[in-house]
Amino acid sequence: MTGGFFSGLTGVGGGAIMVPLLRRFQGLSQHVAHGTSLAIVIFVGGAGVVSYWLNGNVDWQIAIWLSIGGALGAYFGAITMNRLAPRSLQLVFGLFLLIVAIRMFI
Amino acid sequence: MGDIIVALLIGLAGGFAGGMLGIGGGAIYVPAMVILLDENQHLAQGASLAAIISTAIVGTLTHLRNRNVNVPVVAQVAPVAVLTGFGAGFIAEQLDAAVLQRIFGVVMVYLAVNTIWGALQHGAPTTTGRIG
Repeated sequence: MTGGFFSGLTGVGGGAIMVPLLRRFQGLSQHVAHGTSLAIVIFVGGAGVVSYWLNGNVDWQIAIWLSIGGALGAYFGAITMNRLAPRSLQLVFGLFLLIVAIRMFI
Repeated sequence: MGDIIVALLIGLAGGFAGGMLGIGGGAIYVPAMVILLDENQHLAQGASLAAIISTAIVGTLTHLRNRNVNVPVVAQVAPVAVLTGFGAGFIAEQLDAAVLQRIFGVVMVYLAVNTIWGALQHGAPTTTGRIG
């Protein structure tokens, strides 16, 4: 529940906050937290794109190619995740969060 | 033509991070489009959200096959996330974007340090409950 609220507040980058919350409040393991977060992102992203679409704020020419690249990348990303040790995954994720956080202050 | 290749490459990079880290990839898609394709911020967010869906669907299917998705938790959290997403979007419009960004920045720094610290600690309880 808390994960849902924070994800909603952050909008686009909801998953970044979802993973730690899923681990803490739902007691999921590192790997399952990432996989579960991504499944939730489908629905949050779906709701988001509908509201952008209705307002005419989606550049479909770019979106289509971005989606094709994204789907391919996601497949390899998900396979890579499964091969990482939990601690390595947690470390990579922590560093990624730090970069995103620093960007918010620039 | 050049823009198509750049968009594909941004998709690949963001999709890889999004699929691996369970975040969708928006944190990479949006700034990359603004910087490399000179896309306006609002349009970049719209295109990013569209791409996040294909990224999240393909990533989730792969994670499902590897038993890395807790389906009951998805069913419980997703409706709340969608509803609060709409509500929070409305609230966010009333607030100063810069202030909002700073607040999230602080939360993110805390989560980042906490996550890195947990990973560096010996014997962090991250292996329990792993299926498959």
